[in-house]
Amino acid sequence: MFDVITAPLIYGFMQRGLAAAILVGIVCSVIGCYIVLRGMAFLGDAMAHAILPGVAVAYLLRGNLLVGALAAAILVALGIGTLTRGSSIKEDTAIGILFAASLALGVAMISSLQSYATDLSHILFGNILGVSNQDLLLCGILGAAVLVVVVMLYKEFLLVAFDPVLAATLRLPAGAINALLLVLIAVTVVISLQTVGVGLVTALLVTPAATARLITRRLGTMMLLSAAFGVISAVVGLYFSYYVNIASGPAIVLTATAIFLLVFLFAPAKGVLPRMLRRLR
Amino acid sequence: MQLKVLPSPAHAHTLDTNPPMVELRDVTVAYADNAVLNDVTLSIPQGAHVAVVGPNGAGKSTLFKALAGLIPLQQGSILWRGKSLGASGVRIAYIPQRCEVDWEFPVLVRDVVLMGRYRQIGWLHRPSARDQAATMEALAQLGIANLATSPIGELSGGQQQRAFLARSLAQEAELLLADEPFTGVDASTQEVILRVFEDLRERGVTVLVSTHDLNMAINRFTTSMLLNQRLIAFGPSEEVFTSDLVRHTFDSQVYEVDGGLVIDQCCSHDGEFDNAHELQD
Repeated sequence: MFDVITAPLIYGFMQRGLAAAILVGIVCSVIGCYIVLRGMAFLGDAMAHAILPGVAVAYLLRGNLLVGALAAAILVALGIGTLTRGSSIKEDTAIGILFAASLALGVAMISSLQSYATDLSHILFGNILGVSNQDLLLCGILGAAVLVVVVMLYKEFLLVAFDPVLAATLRLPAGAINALLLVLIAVTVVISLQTVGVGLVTALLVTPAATARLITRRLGTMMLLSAAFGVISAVVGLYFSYYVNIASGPAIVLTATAIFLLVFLFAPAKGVLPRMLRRLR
Repeated sequence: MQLKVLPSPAHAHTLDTNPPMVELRDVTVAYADNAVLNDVTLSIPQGAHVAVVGPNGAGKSTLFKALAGLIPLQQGSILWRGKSLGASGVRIAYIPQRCEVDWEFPVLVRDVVLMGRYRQIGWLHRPSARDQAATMEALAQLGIANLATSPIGELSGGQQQRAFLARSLAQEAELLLADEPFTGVDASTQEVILRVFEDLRERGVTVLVSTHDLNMAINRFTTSMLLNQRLIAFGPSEEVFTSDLVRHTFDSQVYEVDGGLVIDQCCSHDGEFDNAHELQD
């Protein structure tokens, strides 16, 4: 029985992959709580696509992909903030413009390479088994930094998300807090790049948090549960991909979706089936 | 008809010695070139309890937002204890007409009330025992201590109003601005709220309450303000509510019935105005 769990771990790339998957599962799920509660799913998706040019530049220059992605992500996070602040362009329109343009730019740049197809698929859907020790270290540091900020500014993020008017009356710098949240999301997207890729990161940001939302009444518990769902999805998904021989990013996302569906159907208070049963009674 | 700003309030002998809590000088606020507050000059003594009365679109909510420092002025200036808001350090609690918060947000009533103390708690600190005690005390004062651990979304309209008033108590505000706190609440909640205002008066807190209930203004507030984009009258309630001044404030929507004044607000053509403000927020 234990063989099933330990067998894949004799490979170094599986160990690193598992560590990366768990890390990404935690960080995405925690920051994803804000994305779900503030209805920013589209923004998370946009952010993921928008970092593509940064990755492409790093690729072309043979630099570190994470560094390129991080630079692009932070530029985009601050760009969205500037474009929407006090202008007549609505936020979703601004995001739509940036998002499509960045994706086009990124693909255009990568398409000049000979190994175009493989490279593009790695970026779009992740290449978890190609995680190096150096990548893992950098992701670990960035992920820990995101979590530390979330914990330290827990009550400020909570207030700005829940009641911006009170935040303004208490003279908290809501603009700076929002910008910081965007940067945290950007960093999270970058960390997830190798695990699930640009195309699927939204699922990891949104699905575990949405699942947790169905069974909690407080943000703190929601974050813990969401992280738990994220880790379970990452681990189960990765093993599944190993044994069934499918791509790991999609396997992780599909596991998260399966958990969501289970909770959506059976959650005691908000689940579909318990509600139907109560109505029948 | 001439504007009538009455001499200082009835209990002037006590209030006059108090320095002003807020002074407005020629304050004009406009949304998209529509002036909503026009040239308002007035001085509210520390510890005053003022009912702000006017028709829909009179700029009551706008006045409160200006007093809370939440909106820019087109013209004029506001001083809090003789200083700018930041420099004065005045603690302001503002309870909007309808708190535009996400009622589905996973926070407990207790958490919401505790938010009022974020300023006292400070950055990077956790709430102290004193903050927790102040929270529970405020909940008890509003008679909703038993709801402390309920999610905010499960409260009735009156209970929500109580929770937000409890939050401003926990805030230990020196200036309380309550916009239509009696709209849509049950009679017992109304009494509880009035009792809290009474208690705040004894503690020397300056309170402004907007209402369209003339009888309440006359019977429960010693000082009243009539507002219809311009300041029409400000002074002791019994002097402010003359039929001439009230008719001037409400245009032709006032009828005299059995010697009392009745205001017909159902067909107010200014109603659209009020919605327009809300869109601006």
